[in-house]
Amino acid sequence: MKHILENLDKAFESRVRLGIMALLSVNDSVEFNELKEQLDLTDGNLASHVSALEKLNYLQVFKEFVGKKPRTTYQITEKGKKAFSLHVEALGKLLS
Amino acid sequence: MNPEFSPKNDLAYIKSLMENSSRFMSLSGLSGISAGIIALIGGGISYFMSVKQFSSYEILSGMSSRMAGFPFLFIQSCIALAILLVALVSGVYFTVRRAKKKKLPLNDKVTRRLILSMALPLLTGAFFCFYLYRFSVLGMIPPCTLVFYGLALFSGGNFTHREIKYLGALEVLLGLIGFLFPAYGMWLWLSGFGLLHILYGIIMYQKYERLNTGEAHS
Repeated sequence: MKHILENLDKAFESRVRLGIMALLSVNDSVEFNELKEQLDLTDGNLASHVSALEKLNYLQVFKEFVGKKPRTTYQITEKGKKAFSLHVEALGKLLS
Repeated sequence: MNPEFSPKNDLAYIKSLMENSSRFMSLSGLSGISAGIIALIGGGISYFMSVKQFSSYEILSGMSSRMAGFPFLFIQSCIALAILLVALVSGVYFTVRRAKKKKLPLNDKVTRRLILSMALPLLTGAFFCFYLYRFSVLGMIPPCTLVFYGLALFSGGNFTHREIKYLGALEVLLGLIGFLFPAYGMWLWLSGFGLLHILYGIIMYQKYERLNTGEAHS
């Protein structure tokens, strides 16, 4: 039992971060506003969780300008993919 | 550890997010049932109309030159287009209703991907059927509609309920049988667009919509 709990990633204790990773794992890249809408968050709340995940190198941030508007998109990294799938696997084992 | 930690809820949450963001989950089983019923009614009307005018061989093979004349062909084409239109409207209606009930987005990336993935096979099919119509190869039209519609569903299945893929494959199979046995074209068409749709719709409705089982977490 202890072994399984060790596989749970502390970074994903928050529902929001779990949600961000879930969305990034099935889409090539996701925009800030899409994340915000799908997870039903405020700008500040999403930004702080995203930067926590960025610090862990679980996701990559891309900023660009479309016309005059800045657009921020996110992509999951290989490290993030691995961490997320390990976490999901551990969750599944806890249930069985 | 978070006191509210629940692996079961977390997994359900992840699953519903992943599905809603990569697949169009609002497609209603009722859309399938209504499209199937409309196809049966329309196909039935068209069939009995032809029974009055032509010998059974002419109808079954659909190759008669007399059939290519006005007004028979014109009326039959109108029926076909009417079936398409009414089935489409009813299908969209039930799906929009479900999306609103579940508060899922309708005009997003996923919807566009679904429509795009179905557009190529459907447009190719429409073009090809029009070509058959112009050269009066009428007997080949029903199996052709089945094949191209099936291909569209098969490719659309990547962006909506996976079960749509099976429906698509079955439609293609019926269409291919129709090429081998043109005399049964009409019956195969009615089975594909009528019975299969209804059957699929009932299965999907039972699985995903009745009493909201299977999507209680979303």
